[in-house]
Amino acid sequence: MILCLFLAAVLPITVSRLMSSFEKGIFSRATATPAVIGAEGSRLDLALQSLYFNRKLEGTLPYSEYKRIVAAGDVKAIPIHVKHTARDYPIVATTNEYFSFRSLRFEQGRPFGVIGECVVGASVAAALQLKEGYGVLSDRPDLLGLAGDYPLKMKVVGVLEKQNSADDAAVFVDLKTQWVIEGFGHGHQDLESEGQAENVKRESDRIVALPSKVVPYTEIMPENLASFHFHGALDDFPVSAIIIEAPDVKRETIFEAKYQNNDRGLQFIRPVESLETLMSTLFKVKRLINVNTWLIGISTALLMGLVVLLSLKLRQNEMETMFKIGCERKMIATIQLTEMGIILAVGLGLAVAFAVLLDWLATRGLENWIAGQ
Amino acid sequence: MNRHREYLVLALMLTLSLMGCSTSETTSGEAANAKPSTQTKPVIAATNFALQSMAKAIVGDFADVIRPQVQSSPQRGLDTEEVIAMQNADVVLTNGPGANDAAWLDLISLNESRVVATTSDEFELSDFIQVEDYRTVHSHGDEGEHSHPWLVPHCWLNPRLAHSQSLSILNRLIAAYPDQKETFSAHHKSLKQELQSVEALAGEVAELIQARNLTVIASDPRLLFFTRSLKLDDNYLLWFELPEASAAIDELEKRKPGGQAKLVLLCAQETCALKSQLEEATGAAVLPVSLIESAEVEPDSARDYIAMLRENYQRLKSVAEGMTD
Repeated sequence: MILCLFLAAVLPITVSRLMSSFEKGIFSRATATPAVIGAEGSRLDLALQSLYFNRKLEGTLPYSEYKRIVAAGDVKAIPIHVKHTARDYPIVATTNEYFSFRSLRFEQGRPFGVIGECVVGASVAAALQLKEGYGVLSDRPDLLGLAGDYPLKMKVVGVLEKQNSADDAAVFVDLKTQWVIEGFGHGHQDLESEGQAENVKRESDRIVALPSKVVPYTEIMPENLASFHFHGALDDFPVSAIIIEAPDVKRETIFEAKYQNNDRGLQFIRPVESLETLMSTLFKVKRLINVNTWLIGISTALLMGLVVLLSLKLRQNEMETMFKIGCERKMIATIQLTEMGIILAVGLGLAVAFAVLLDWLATRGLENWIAGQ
Repeated sequence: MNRHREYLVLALMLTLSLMGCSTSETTSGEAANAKPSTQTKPVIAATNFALQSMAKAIVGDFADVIRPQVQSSPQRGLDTEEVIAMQNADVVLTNGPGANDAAWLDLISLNESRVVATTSDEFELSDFIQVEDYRTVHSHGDEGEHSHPWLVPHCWLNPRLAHSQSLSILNRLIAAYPDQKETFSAHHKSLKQELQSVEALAGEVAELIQARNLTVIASDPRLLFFTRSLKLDDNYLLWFELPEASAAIDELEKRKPGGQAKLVLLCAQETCALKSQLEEATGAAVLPVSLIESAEVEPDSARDYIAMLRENYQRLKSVAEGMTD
C-alpha cells in the first residue's frame, strides 16, 4: 500500500515542484532583465540569447545604437554580442558593466582590461580547468573555410563565483575582443625584429615566415598589443542585443515608444513577456498533468478504500478477539486509524522526499539545461 | 551565601557586558573617525596633458586627475594598472573622433557612459583639421587597399578651442558631481580668463605677422591648430621625422616667398635639430613650437599647460618683433 501511495503521489508532486522551480528560475533572470533591444526577428530568440546566450540571431544592430542610447543618458544600456564559442562555451562580448548588472562576483582576478583578455564562468573554469593567467582558444566557426581566421587565444584574467545561472557557462570578453575574433581587427608581427629571427627566412628582397613557425592561433600580448587596430568604424560593428535598465517605469515606457514602428529595423522586447509566451505552452501541459493527477488521485483513493474495507473484513475475527479480551471499540478504531495514518504518512512522505531530491538536482542544472536548448 | 554568589556573578556579567558595549562603541567610533581618511577622492582620467591640466584646474582638490603615460611614451605600451585605474575613473576625458588623440582607447575596455568626447559638443565642423596630403594607407581585409586623410588631434594648441573643450569638461563634471557646481564654475572662470588672455596674445601676434609681412610655414600638420589660431592659411611641410639637412634646405628654398616677405619656419620637436643649418642656408627664422603633448611634472593646475601655450606665442612674438624690414 505504501508503494501504491508513493507511486500515485510522486508524479504530481514532482511535476508541480519542478514546474514551479523552472518558472521561478526562468522568470527570476528574465525579471532581472527588464528590457532588451535587438534587430527585428523572433522575440523569443532575442530574449533567450540575451538571457542564456544560446540562440544565434540573424540580425544585429550597430554599436552606434548603443552609443546613442548611452549619450542620451536616459537609461542604462549594456551591449551583448554572442556569435562565437570557446571550447563549445559561448563567448559573450559585453562591457564590464555586465558584471555589476548581474551582481557577479569574482572568485579570482579582475574584469577584462584590454583586448584579448577574458573572464570565465565557474562551470567553464571547472570543466576546462582554467585559472587566472591561463589561456583559452576561441573555436573556429568554419573548419573547412580555407580563408578562415585564426582562433584567438584569450588570456583568463578573472574567474567568476558560481551563480547557478547561464553566466557560469560563458566566456566573457570585451566587445572589441569579439570583433577581433570576427576579423574586424587584427595586429601585425614585426618580422624584421630580432625576436623573429628564428621564425623567418630572409630572401634577397623579402622576408618569409617559416610555415613550421607560424602559430596556428592569434594571441594578443603586451608586445603586439599596440599593433592591433580595427578596419572600419567601430560604430558600424555588430552587437546582438542591448540590455536596457530604466530608472523607472515612466522612462522605460518613453524609451519603448522610440522603438515602436521605427524604420531602423529594431525591436524592443521585455524578456518576461516573451518567456510568458513560451511558458504558456508549458502550462497547458501542466494543466493536462493536473487533470491526470486528479484522476489518479480519485482511483487511488477508491482503491485504498477497497483495500481498507477488505482488510477490515479479513481482520474482523482479530478485532472481535481484542474486544472480548477487554479492548474498547474506540481503541480498536484508533489502532486501525493509526495504521492507516502511518501508511499514508510514509507513502506521501517518500513521494515528497523524492520530489524534493529531484527538484534539488534539477535546480542545480536548470539554467545550464535551458542554456543548452 | 549562595544568594551573594548569584549577585556577584550577575554583577560580573553586567560589568563585562557594559565593557563589551563600551569597547564596541569605541571601535565603531574609531571606524567612523577613520572613514573620512580611508575615503578616496573621486578619480577623473584624461587622455592628454591639456585635458588633464584643464580638468585639474576645474576640480581643484576635489578629485585626482590621472593620465596614462602611454600617451607621452607610446613605446612603453599599455600598463595594466593604468588601464584598471582608467576603468575605475568616474569620468574619462578624451578629445573625440574628429581629433582622436588616443587610438589606444580602442584597445581597452571602458564603459562608454563614462567617456566624454570633449570636441563633440562645442566644436564646429570647420574647427577640425583634415590633412588630405598625409593619408594613412591600409591594404588589409575585404576592402583592399584604401586610405583616409589624417585628422590632426592637437586642438589644444589653439586657446579658443581649448576654451571650448574646457566648457565640455565643466558641463560633464557638473553632471557627474552636481553638488560641486559652484566650485567648479568659479575655478572654470579663472581658467577661462587665462585662456582668453592667451587668445588675446595670439591676436597680437597675428597682427604683428601681418604687419611684418611674414610667411609662416609649419614643419608638419601637427602645428596647424597653432597656425590657424594666428589666422594664417595652412602652409606646412611633412617633416614628421628629422629630414636630411640638404633635402630640408632644398625644400625650404622652394617655399621661400618672393619679394620682401620673410620666412619663419615653425618646427615641432625633433626638426629643430636643424635650426642653425636651416637658418644659415636659407635665411629663414626657425622657431621651435611645443606640441604640449606632455610635461615632465604632473600639473598642479592649468598654469603649466597655459604657460607652455603662452610661451609658444611669446617666442613667435619675439622673433616677429626682431624681424624688421
